[in-house]
Amino acid sequence: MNLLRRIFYFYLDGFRQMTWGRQLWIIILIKLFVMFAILRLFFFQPVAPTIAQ
Amino acid sequence: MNELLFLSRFQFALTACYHWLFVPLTLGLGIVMSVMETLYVRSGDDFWKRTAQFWQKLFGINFAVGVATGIILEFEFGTNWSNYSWFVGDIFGAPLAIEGILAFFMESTFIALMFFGWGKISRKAHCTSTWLTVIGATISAWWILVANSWMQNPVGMEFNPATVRNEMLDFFAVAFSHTAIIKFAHTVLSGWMTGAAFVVAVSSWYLLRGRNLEMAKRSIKVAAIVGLIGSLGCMGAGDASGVDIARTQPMKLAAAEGLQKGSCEAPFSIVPGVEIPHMLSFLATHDFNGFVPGIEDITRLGYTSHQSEEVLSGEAKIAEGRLALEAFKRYRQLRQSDPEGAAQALADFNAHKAYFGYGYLENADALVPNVPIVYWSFRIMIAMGSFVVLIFLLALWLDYKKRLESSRLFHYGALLALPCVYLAGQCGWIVAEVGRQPWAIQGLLPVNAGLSSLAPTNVLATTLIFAVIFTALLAAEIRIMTRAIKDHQA
Repeated sequence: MNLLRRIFYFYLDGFRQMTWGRQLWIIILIKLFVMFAILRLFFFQPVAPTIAQ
Repeated sequence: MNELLFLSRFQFALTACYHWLFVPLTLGLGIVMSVMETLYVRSGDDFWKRTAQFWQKLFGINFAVGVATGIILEFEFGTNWSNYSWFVGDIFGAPLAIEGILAFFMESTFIALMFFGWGKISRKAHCTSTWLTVIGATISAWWILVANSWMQNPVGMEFNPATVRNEMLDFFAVAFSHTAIIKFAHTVLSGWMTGAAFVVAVSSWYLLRGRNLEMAKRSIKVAAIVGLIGSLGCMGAGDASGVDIARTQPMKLAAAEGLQKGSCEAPFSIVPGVEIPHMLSFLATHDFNGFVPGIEDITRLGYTSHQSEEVLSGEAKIAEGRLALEAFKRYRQLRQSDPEGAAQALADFNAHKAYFGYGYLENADALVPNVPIVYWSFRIMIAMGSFVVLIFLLALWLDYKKRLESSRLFHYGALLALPCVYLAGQCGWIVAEVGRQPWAIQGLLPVNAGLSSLAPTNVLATTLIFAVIFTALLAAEIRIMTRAIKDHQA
């Protein structure tokens, strides 16, 4: 449990102490949202293959 | 080429080209910063700590903007290339899945330790985390390149006519094929060149501005050594790749040389009209009198290879392929209603199945890729790569002569080397991918048979959306990175 707490606080401190990293996280989150919530859901729907026919 | 095929290929090419702007810098800059941190751990000199932290910051910017851009390519497999995905997904999916599960999680874990761990974990543990971040990225590249190499040289599988899918028989044959090993070495080491050229260029900019001089000079030295090692390895792998391509994809080699008629004394074309006698024979077979087939041999005449194998002409392969395709269709129609007829059809199919993929082609001319694009991309790659190698050599020589700080011509040359190294990388991929057309999977499935049944306007719309998003990402990366470089005070 102590190890898990240390890992948790390691990440928490890391995120709290970020300076230029915040801007990068914003880019990453916007990018992932656009890719998975917009492109994947609305534009890149899997298409049924026809090669077997 | 029909509109849907053109747009689907264009979209895939655009996605791959954008993705390849981010990846090589991650691979190469990662090595340079890891070496610098190792110097810090070994010497205890805080200079190397500050220097490694600066390059790690630029690494982080590139990593953050570039991460997951390759996922769009995987979306495209399901949307634009569904027949391809059905046909070979059982094999192609495995390395991509391993990449996602193993390598990506390894990278993600250790990159957190690298960025958040300064002062919280020991110096050695931190340095190990930095190396493991880069090793994770490199393993990630390995599995992607295994997937790509399998498309260039499909091995370790068997076609199942009942499901119309290729099934993996030998995982290790796929994961460690000769083509995969060579492609991995050539591609990753070209990434080392890119990362090294980036460090040399940024450092030269500081020298031109008279800022951060000590950091710039020592960074150039480390980067030039990494770049030179990468360059030598890249050249060695390129040589091995030439022999491999001559054996597995002779049309790609013929197109890259614009070689119409085969010869045992094939010359290497530097530019049209300027040739080195016998050199292509040597590069392709490691024998100055080795036979290299030309486009005519591959499409219409047939030939005996350097390994003394009789190779059918493209026309003959297409005729065989049509017989296989016809038997296969018959098998699909009869397999429920007439087991005996289906068994006969399957026997007919098996007799011709080696050339199954050729049955989808209209004629032998369809076997020829766009020769001018492949020919010139190959030459641009070599010219740009050679210029970058020259910059690395010059950097080490100037450092030895203690003139690194004062040689402004070198600084401008180093700045020029940055776009050159990217152009070399892009051209390398153009040679590899345009050169293997019309095949999505060499000899098995041409691109026209791998396509989905989509309206071209759908593909056009996603291409435009994708182009806008990735251009915005690239602009963001350049803006954030240039600001970080300008603001840095060593």
